[in-house]
Amino acid sequence: MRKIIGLLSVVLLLIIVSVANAEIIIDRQVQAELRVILEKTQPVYHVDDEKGMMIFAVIDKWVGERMNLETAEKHISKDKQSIAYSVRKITGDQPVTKLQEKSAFNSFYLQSPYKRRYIKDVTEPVKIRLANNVVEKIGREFIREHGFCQETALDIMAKAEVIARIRQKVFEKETLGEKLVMVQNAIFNRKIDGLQVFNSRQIVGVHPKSKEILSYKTLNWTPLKEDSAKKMEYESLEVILDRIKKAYEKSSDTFDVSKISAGMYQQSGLIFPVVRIKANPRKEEGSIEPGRKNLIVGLVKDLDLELGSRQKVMQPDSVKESRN
Amino acid sequence: MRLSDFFLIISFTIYLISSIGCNGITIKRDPFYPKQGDTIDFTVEIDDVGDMTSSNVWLGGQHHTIISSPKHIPFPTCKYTTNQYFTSIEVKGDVQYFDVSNNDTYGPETLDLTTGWADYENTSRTYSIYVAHEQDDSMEDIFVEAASEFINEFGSFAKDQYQWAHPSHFNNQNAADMLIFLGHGNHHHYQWGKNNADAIDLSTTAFGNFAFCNNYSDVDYLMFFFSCNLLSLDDFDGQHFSYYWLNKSSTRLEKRPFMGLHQLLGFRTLSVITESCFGVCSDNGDDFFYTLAEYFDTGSQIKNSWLWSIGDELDQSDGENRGAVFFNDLYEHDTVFTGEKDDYIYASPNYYGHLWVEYHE
Repeated sequence: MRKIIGLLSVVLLLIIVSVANAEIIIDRQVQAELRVILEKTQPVYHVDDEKGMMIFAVIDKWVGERMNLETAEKHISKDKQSIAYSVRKITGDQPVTKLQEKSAFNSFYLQSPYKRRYIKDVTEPVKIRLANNVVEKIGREFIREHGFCQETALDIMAKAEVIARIRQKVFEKETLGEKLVMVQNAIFNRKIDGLQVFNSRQIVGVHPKSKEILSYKTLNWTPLKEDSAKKMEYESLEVILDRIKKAYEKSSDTFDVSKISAGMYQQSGLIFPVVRIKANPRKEEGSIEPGRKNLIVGLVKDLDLELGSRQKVMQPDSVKESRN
Repeated sequence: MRLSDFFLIISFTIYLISSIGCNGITIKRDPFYPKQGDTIDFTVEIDDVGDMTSSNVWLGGQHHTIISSPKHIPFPTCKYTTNQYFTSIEVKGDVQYFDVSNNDTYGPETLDLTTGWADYENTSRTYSIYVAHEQDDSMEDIFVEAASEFINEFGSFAKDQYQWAHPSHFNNQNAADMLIFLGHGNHHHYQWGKNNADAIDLSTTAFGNFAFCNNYSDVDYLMFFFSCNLLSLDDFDGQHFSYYWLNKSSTRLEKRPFMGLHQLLGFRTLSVITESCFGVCSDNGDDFFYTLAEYFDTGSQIKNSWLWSIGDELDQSDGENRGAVFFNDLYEHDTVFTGEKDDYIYASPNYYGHLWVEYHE
């Protein structure tokens, strides 16, 4: 009996090896980096929901001074998790029709769990482009002046990345018109004890000519309870490596880890240590471009997190005729 | 008024009406507002054919001698079969009678064929969403979850199709107003299947009311999620990026995606999902589509919704996930609540002069 089981195990192992032709190459240097990350255990924090709601109340008040939330059109998301307020743009002296009522708004505010987004919808492209450090300065001062972010020695707004929204006209002679700037966004990352919280962001949209704040968004940036810091046991290097490998095992391509970064992640009322892995596929000439994904792997053992996708997952149908 | 005067006026009125209706030439057409690609069915009607000495009709410069009435003349304008690029047609005609005082003319009338309205351009607003089969099953799972998130959350359009991506979605008419494709990509290519050969060269596809001759496509908004570099602004194979998306004089007889398309939305750089694995894995593709649905449903511009959702939910570090939108500014303010609009093709004054690209930099 033992022989049969042993034989079956070997066959099963061979099948697994032959099917799983994907590979992620984690070279010695990356493994060494990972080992260093795991040796320096970072604490897990609880977020301070009460302070978070107080900040949201401050944001609500600021938005309320820009658009009337009482009279704004309200839209509740299908999953009942978000509420959007919009004030529509009524143009010219045309009669207000049903379609026009639903046309572009000029102010928009979306409240969803751990997220607030205010946008003033302005289409005013200009030739002026502010230096990135100027946009960052405007954005940082705006957030600080209004008290939209609780910064401490431990929990800070890190350097911003500035991304502009550009538009250019396309001509028949296959040239593009000059670059016009719609808005410049300062995207602030959050750092806790020097580690970036990968899913926390505050974004300030600045119009380059008027320097008016066109948008403000805070995403998963809830103050933390510093006294809740608790060092918890980390997973072993082997477990982390196994998780990384598992995330790529269904691919038929070979990937090389190109970048590994220690950081934090805010989810389920906690901020906890993670590692972010970026990997590049080995693309052979003439082959299709393999998919890329960044991977965030939790480092702490036995965290109590909400998992899985939000709603029902449905499989696509096979091809059939279009209808209408 | 005397009774005799009254009858005189009535008789004169009847004579006038009958004289208008009885002698002359009329050229009717179906469809009444034709567009390039239609076979226009012209019907020439001559009054009192027996009293006619001759009649001529010119349709797009082609001469027809009319000897009977009604006379049906089909006029094909499909560029693929006629090898001609019709932008307009001049319609005119004349008729001569024995009694020369009854001679009549029709036109000239110029029909603009570069502005179009298709039968599918109706009030039912629908979308279809297609997921590519992937070499990597885990990526396929990510796309299916993301697509499901959009279907679950988006409420303003009715769902038409939710299918595995297939070349027929590019080569057949499509009745939906909005198409969303998930899958890998490259400069003007979408990878619909697992094999190297399973890539669609999008420069050979057409969308909008002019996409198919005598058939109708209603696609206004075309979106590609997770398709790396698909909307790259770089030159490719010695050609400017716009060569692959727009018709111009030298390519006017070929297909291009902008044949009535309002907006093309995608990524100009690598598009990378971030998967979070804490026990089981989830990803920010879900967050992107949830947010996109929210922006759409609250009446944000289509274009803004796309670019905002990318900036809000995707990781833009290291130059990744830079969104891009190629659009005609006549549709710039379109939202999912915008009503139906005319479509335009190359040579229309509403084509070049109105085309823009907007992107993250």
